[in-house]
Amino acid sequence: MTTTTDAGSRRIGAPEPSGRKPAKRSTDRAQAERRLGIKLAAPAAILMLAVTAFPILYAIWLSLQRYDLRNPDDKGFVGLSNYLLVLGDGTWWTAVGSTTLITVVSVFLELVIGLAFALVMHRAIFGRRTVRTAILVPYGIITVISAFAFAFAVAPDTGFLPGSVDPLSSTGGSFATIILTEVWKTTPFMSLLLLAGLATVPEELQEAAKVDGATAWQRLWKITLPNMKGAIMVALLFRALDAFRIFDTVYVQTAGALNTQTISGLGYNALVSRVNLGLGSAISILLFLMIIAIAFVFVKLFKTNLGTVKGGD
Amino acid sequence: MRARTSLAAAVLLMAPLAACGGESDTAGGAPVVNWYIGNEGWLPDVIQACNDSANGAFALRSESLPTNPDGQREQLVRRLAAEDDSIDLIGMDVVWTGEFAQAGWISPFEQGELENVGSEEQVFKGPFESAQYDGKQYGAPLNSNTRLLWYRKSKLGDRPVPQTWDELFTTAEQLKSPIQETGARAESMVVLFNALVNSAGTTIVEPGADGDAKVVLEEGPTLQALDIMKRLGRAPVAPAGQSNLGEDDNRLAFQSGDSTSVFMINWPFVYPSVVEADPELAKDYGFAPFPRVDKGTPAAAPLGGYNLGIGRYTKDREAALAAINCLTAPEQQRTIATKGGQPPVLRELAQDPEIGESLPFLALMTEQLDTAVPRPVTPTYNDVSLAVRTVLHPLSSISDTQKEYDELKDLLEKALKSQAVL
Repeated sequence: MTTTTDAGSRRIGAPEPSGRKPAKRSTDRAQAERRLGIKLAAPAAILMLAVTAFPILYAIWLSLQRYDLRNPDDKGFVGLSNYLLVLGDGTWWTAVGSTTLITVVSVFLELVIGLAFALVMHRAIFGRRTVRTAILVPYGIITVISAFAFAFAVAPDTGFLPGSVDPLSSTGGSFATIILTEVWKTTPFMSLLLLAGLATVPEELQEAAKVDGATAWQRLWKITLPNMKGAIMVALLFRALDAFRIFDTVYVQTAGALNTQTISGLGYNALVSRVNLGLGSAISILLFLMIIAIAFVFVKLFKTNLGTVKGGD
Repeated sequence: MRARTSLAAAVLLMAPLAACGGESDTAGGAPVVNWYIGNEGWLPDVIQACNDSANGAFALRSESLPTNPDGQREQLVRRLAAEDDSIDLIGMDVVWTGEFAQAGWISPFEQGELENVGSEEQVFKGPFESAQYDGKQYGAPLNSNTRLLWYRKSKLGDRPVPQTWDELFTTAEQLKSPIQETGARAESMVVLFNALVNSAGTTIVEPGADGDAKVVLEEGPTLQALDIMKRLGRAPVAPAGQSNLGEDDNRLAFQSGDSTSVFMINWPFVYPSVVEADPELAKDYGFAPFPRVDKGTPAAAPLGGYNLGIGRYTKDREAALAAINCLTAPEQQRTIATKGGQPPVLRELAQDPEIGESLPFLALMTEQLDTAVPRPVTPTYNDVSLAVRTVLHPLSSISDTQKEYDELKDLLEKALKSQAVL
């Protein structure tokens, strides 16, 4: 949401400096506008603080405690020992590995398929609306439902696979099923973001290249993709952040069996099932830090500009 | 399993709606007793019967919980931790006693408060022990359950019915028949492991309050138990898709027409089910005691069932207690047994002709209930359970039992103190 408004305001603001340089000292009117702006934004900011900042700070506080609801009397400050416990445990690192695997593979596949879908949606001449709606349908289905659907589809008794093939009884098969479900479900989201990027690629460039005799393949690699680089990075970032927090699909299909447990799954077990608030909060905070790290890598290292879906500058 | 989990998911989604119907605390003058319990077919009957005989002492109502025990527990734990005072009566799986008692979510019963199920003279040993924690009785056993060895008479022919695991494996291998036993990463795996370990002569955890519990698992007997689990995971004994099989999948597989299985190990609910689905096939169902590890020693059969607990934050403990005394009476136990296939906990019903008619295996089960060993009654039971599932799933991955043993013991030590990442 914020991205589009940011982009919008920037675009509106963009033509302004074309003529004269902006005045160094702001006028009274500008200051009053500024104050009004702060007042208008304050309620939203306060609400955001209440619903996001407070829970995060509370979770950090909990993660420094020994606090298990099953033993409420034995409670106290333990410093970083919950974190040391988590980081020194093999199960944690297995979960980090499997979460990374699911994230990398599914986001990559989503990018490739999503781009193909975006091109189809962009170039569709007949039944444009129908094509777009059809592509978006999976995204409208609840994750738990699609997870069950794929689990049923590959099960030996209810599924479509021949004979006694049972993907969910091997590690590789389980990962394949989970990733397939994720890709099926969220590719539409990816293609929607990419479609927005495609719309910003100037048509004149395409036509000029066509006149110069560039093939479709060359136009894709030399013109379309470089021009929508920004949109691709934003789409990758959004999906990576989302995929890294994967929970429902794994919970439904394997319940973390066969080394498919994810970080969210460990957090769920500790917090909801074992009601060990200290340990569970430490896991949640670690996941939170990893998400921040991914966002940081994208924004700083890959120079992803969240403020624009337009690329190429 | 799939069908059950999806049903559980559906119920889970519905539950908050049901819970929101703001209900008054009295109904026609009688104090309302809210009973949180998984949905069971016999519920409406026993509630009706008790309300009819209550004479205004209480008005019992059920609040439905998800169908699978893990989901039931999670919802209860969340509510109880938030001191929900609408929870008067809880249908507790036999393994929750230690956790709920230590956390102070249920209140103990005083001597003499329970009319029907307050002593070991009245109740079978296994169910009675599952309701005790730290020297006090926290649960009122409502019904019991134990797994039996089921077989198809026509397929077994005139071979002897296996009494030990060794005999079972040999017979199944000769017949090239899978043994329908659960293999999913779920509580059912702990049920099996606990039974095998105790049958072999040791136990998982020695109970103790306030973190005094200790991991026992003597090496010799545990290796024996692990070896049986290893063999269960090998062909031709392992059924297709074993690593995802739950109790209900086994029931369906065993009663389906193209089943090649001669044996199944399961709770008795499989019997009323097959009687309803195919009465002819039901006649082909044979039953025998849960297999022994050692030929001379009766098996420590798995133990299931419900205990009733009174929520600590209830507004009317008297009314809840009156409801418990009605629910545990022989009449209600009979309804639960005949309608749900779940055996009674009362010794006086061991030979009951009415129950015996619908559950032909009643005598066998009640015999097993005295040697059945509950799963560890300890506050961190859930951690213990997750640790067992983590190490032993899937059964087909067990190869070096010594390695599994070391790993399991190590993880259990941590799990018992809630110090493991699971």
